[in-house]
Amino acid sequence: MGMEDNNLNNDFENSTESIFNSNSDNSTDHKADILCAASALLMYGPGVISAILNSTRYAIINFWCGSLLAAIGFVLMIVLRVKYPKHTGGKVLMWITIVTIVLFIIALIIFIITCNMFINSCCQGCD
Amino acid sequence: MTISTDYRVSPYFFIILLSFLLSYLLIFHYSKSKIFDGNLLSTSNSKEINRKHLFYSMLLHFVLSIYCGFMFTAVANVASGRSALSSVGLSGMGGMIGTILSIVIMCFLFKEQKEHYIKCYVMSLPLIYGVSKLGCFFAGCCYGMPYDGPLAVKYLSGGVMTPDHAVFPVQLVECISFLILSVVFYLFSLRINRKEVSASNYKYAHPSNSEESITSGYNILGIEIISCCVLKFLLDYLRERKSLGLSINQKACIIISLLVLTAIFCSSIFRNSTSQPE
Repeated sequence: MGMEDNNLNNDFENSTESIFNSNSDNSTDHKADILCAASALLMYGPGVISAILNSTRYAIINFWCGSLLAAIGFVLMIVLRVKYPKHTGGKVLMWITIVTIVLFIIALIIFIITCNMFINSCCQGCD
Repeated sequence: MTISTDYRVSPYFFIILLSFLLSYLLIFHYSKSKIFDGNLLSTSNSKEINRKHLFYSMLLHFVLSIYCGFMFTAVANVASGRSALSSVGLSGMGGMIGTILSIVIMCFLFKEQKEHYIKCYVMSLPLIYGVSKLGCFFAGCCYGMPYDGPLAVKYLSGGVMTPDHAVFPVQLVECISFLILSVVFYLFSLRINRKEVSASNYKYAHPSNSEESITSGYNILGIEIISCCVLKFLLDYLRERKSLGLSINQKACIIISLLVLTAIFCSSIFRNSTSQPE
């Protein structure tokens, strides 16, 4: 009877431990999910909204607020990667952001080259 | 010296990318040498810099520096009564603010290794600024006051002198002086590392007689920021000025220096109050 009681106690402790662990895992997952969603919304939300509205009236507001929100979203993404390194959403968001940054740099270089080509071709007959 | 700015592709952007790349190589080398140098500090797990965390810190630093660099230019445009996007470019002061901001965020994120991160990024600030000034020099922006002496620079754009007079090569002076500052801080932080190693050895041998290091990461960062601000403030007098008063860069230098001095003063008071015996 004594052995059985001990086994039952151990089983009970293990089951309660696993319940608490799963609860804490769920809560951390939930926090990570919220952080991930907030980060994605802040980084890409303003761009999507401005693309939908397609209005030049709010261009300056969009420039100041949109860039500030994107920067905050980026910081949140880094916080997410550091605090919850195993969160899949965080990993995906980070690689999307890195690809966006690289594409932005390439687009900027192409833009500069194109501008230079247009200016040079326009100014050829200026003399 | 005559420089034609009619490039097919302006080197400005590439030199700025190069400055970041150089600083990250240096930071990586510095963090690697801290981990594998075989001293007592490196045996402690808490002192090691996680490679992934180092990558995140670089990402954070790059994005915030570029973001604040662009934003500072936009704010300067608005302050001078123009449209926010009337001129687009990266401001060195903005980059510095972005770097400080990223270091502050790193301190909150990597609490155990915050001093290592501060020391790693100590060299990056003047190095990035110094190298990126070469971009300004070749692109023909941020030029100096009118000057006809030796090394005077004339910028040609489409065969026309822009500006219409020779200028002082302040970008080159800034580049050299900030690179020297970067080397000085690198040597300074290496020296502090050696001191820390001997202090930790002593602490290990005599735990009761141990004392906290006076040269903490915060103080190094504070000293570095104030040095950069003082240098930038003085060199700004050699740039072309449209008015006699302080430029927006100089005002920003004063504000940042005052904030850093206040932070150092408050932290020393806090440290004294917590270290006093009850």
